[in-house]
Amino acid sequence: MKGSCDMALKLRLKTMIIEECEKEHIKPAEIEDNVLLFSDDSRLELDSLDALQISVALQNQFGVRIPDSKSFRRHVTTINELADYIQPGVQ
Amino acid sequence: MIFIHAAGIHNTMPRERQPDLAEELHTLTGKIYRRTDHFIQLAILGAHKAAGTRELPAQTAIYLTSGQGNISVFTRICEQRRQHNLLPKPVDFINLLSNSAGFYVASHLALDGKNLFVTHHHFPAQMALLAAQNDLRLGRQKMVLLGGVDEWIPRQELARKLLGVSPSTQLGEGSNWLLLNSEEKNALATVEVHPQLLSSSLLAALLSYAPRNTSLIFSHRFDREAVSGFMRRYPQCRLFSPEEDSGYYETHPLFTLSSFLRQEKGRLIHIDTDGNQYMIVTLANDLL
Repeated sequence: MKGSCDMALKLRLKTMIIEECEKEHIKPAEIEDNVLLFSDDSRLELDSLDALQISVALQNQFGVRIPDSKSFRRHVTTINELADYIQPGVQ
Repeated sequence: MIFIHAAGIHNTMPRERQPDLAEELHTLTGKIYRRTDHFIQLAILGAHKAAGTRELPAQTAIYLTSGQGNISVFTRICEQRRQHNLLPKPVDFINLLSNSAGFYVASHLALDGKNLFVTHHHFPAQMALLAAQNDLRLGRQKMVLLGGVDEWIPRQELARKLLGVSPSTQLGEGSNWLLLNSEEKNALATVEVHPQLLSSSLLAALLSYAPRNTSLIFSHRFDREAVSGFMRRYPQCRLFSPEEDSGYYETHPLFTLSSFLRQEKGRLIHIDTDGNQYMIVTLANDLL
């Protein structure tokens, strides 16, 4: 199954981001699947250090290594994009 | 001689887990400190209590000391790397840097003066006081906010091993801060660190000339028998005992000094030892 169709995976990713970035005042359901995580539209208000936290958490929890900031910007855009990167699968 | 203008005590004896300080900090300061850990929260809490409602001059220096530093994060990172082969969290790594707690204290109190972390194998609190004493006397600093921070960790066996204390020692945690100044005006007390370690004969000479009713307090490194021996030899002195319970932690001398300020009027001699020699700090709050 493609990551963006896997609700359990997306919930896990949202929970991970909330925990790693200490945004406990936001509930996973409040993070929309298609909203850019690092943008003014996102309620998360993440910064570059949050990006680093997420990058290391992805490696530790999912075994996914993001080699550089360029790759991070390409794959960690929205929850759907990130889920598809972790779990490409087929729809 | 330097002067104490304010003191802040945060001292606890946890039993099973570290107290959640984030909520307490939020209640006290009205702020949420993201990316802070227990050690940093302890530091902010104690410094906040010492500063009180004062607006400190921006150039106030911060001298922070700790016996074990950020030990809970340090052990977590070591385990992640060595046992689980995981990368440390970037925030943990950053917070482990010796002066991260100092950064957060400076940020909380809007200070941009010197920010120093003092470490010493046996006498971290006294050495930080000595550094402040020298800098204030030499006019290098006008005001120093000096804090000793040590955290309690649930892994008591490990903590006792690192501290080199007996298995029965009750451990605690504290963040005790003094606002120091070279000016006497509005001061609460004077404090003086003897810059050299004393032999037992020099200590005996000092104590034999101690004025009547001088209070003595001995660090946790002295056992009950040794303390009784001292008190028998110097009957003109009395033993000071803080009202608030506390467990052992290495920057405990700052808790003792602050407790005396809160409880008593008079002169206190704090005596600590590395097993061979003695380190003395005197405090007086009856002459100002």
